[in-house]
Amino acid sequence: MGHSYALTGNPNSGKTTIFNELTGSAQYVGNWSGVTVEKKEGFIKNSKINVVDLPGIYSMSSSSIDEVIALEYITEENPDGILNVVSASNLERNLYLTLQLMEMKVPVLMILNMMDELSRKNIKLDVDRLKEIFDIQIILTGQNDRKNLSRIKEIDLKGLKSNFARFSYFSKEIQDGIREIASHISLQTLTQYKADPQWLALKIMEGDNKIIEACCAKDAAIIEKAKAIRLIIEKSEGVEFSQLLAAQRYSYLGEIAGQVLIDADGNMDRESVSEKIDKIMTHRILAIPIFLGIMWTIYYITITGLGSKSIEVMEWLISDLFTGAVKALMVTMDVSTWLQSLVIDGVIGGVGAVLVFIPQIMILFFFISILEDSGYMARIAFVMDRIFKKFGLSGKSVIPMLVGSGCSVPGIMATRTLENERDRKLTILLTPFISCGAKMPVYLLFVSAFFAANSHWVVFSLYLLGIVTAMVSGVVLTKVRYKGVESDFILEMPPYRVPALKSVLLHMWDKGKDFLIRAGTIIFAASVIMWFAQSFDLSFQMVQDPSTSVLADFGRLVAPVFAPLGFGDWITSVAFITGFVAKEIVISTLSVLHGVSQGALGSSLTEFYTPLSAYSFMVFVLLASPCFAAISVMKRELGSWKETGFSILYQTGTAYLLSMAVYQIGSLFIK
Amino acid sequence: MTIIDLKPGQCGEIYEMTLDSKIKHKLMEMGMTPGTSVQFVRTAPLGDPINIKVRGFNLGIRRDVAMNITLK
Ligand SMILES: Nc1nc2c(ncn2[C@@H]2O[C@H](COP(=O)(O)OP(=O)(O)OP(=O)(O)O)[C@@H](O)[C@H]2O)c(=O)[nH]1
Ligand SMILES: [Mg+2]
Repeated sequence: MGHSYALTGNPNSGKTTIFNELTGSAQYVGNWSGVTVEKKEGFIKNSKINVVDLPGIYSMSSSSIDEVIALEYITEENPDGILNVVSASNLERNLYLTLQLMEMKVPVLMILNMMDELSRKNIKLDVDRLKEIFDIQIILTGQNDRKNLSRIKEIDLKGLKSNFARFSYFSKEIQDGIREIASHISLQTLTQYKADPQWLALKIMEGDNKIIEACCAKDAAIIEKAKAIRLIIEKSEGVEFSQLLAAQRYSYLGEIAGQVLIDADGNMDRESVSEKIDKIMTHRILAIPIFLGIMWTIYYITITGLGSKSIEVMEWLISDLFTGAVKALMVTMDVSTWLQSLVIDGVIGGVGAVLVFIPQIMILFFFISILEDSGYMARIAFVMDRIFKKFGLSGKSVIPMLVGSGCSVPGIMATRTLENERDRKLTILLTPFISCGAKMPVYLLFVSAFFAANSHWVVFSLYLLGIVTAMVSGVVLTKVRYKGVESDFILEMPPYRVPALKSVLLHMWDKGKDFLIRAGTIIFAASVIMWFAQSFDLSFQMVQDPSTSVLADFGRLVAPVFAPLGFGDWITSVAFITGFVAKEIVISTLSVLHGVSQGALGSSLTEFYTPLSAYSFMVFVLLASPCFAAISVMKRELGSWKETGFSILYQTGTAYLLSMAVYQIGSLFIK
Repeated sequence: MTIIDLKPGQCGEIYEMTLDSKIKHKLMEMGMTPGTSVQFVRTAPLGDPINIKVRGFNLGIRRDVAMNITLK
């Protein structure tokens, strides 16, 4: 025991779904290609078997970062076996990878997933024939039918052997070439680089630089020989070698599909429900209004529909019930007044200000999760590509941005699927402009105080401003900094699927939990620090009026910088600065420093801001540098502090200029 | 004739792809090999990209790529 298996398969074939089922984890599943972008490990329940969930790959050649992660794991980490997840509803293309895995001569166990979709299409699959062809074991599974997966524990993959006639589908010249080169690979190479000689020979012939570098960079003779054979074949066929391989593999796969797929109605190409839905969702005229309508509805329900109720309930829970109880308890226990103030104004004030909005954040994630799980994401990318192209990006950048509308951290991670380095860097920089879940509480607080009548419109306008800023920045930055070739756009559009309630709720809870944890840790800490800093002056004397505290002194030092944006008070300056740590802290800071309870914070704000400066405030929070968590992911994904520093400066600079524009231009018209 | 000359819903058989070798290889590995049947499904609302169907799955590709995929 103690084996380690790799889950490999095409993007969107259900690897993570199966990983979760096997290990009992809750990794994120979504209906588009490229959900998983890093490897995740876990143990199969009640066993010592380690499984690794990998990003999806179409083939053994790769261009984007997520694909490289998967490939390197398979070719370099020598897992004891491969669990090849194959989508039965997309058999030919999925088996392309299976063929390549079989060519490696590593132990493969096929997990044939999505059997439910196949039967919904009324197609039968001759599993016995498929087993026979590949000479491997196959586990059948589908939605609501995962019981066969338990068999994995009973099979020792390491011992699996297959007599699959690999390479038999290649032309004679190629087969001869493989044998020829394989016979020349030195024993030393083979013992050092644990791989099958014939597979290695094929890779050398293909000119796979990475593998050549790793196995036989010094063996110039063999590289030359392989190249010579390749050139002869290319010349006689008039096609590039690697393309020749693809064509020959597919022609074999076409035969296999003909043998194993039996269409019950003899009409394999009939229009599916998914294609009918697409007629409307990607309709020439309706598509864009539908997209805007969906986004508007999500924000409407989150903010006004369900949101305002949830705020009332939470405010009652926290301000009236909880604060009241704690106060009464402390009074009976005769706690000193400063400690009472720390607990009530500092901790409950600061943390509570954020907690009030957690249900709404969860509602937002509920909807984003449905978007992601339904298959609509890929359609948005398809519809928006033309616009994004105009602005220097590709439609594929839409996906990180949509994920980023929940949280920038996974949004930035999702850029790994972008092949083009320029696109990826630019998308990383632009994703934080898209309003995230943590910024929402700030808007909610301000709109309820200043724009109660049309709160969702105001929030929606901010959301649009974020998109427009990202777009315009795309144009500007491709001109000045991110020059380079335009990217290709190849996008798989998966069938629509009914989102699984369990995974949607799980995702929502997972995100809600993140915010709760943050509330209990950094926001708690920040609130306590804030309370102390506003309670003492420079000589560590407790102050009566917070405006004579150290924090106020500090805030006043910075305040002039923000004066052109419409606020010259020390509290706003402090709130902006703490906002770099986490966006929700902005409201904790306001709550602690205004020293009022949740319900009263809104009216206290109206004494400090006008509706115009309130809007300018929200614009700044929307666009300024993302939080610490996002900055650290940005640094990791960009790989350099220089790029990261540029991003932060660019974002904060844009925020500053735009809020200033809002305030200054607005002042000309209002009052 | 190329893919974009097809009418929505119409199918054709790939003859040749005159494309940059990287994207060509990628499309071939996704199953767009010579002889494969492709269906032109529809154009995106703004005229680009287009939705095609190959080997039972839907794919979005840009017009300038589709223009270089000739059919039999
Ligand atoms: N109908 C059906 N849908 C499934 C099945 N297994 C997974 N799905 C859905 O298929 C989609 C993709 O599932 P994932 O598990 O995220 O796929 P993946 O292979 O990890 O995808 P990447 O990480 O993008 O490579 C999700 O919407 C799942 O709910 C199945 O057996 N039947
Ligand atoms: Mg996955």
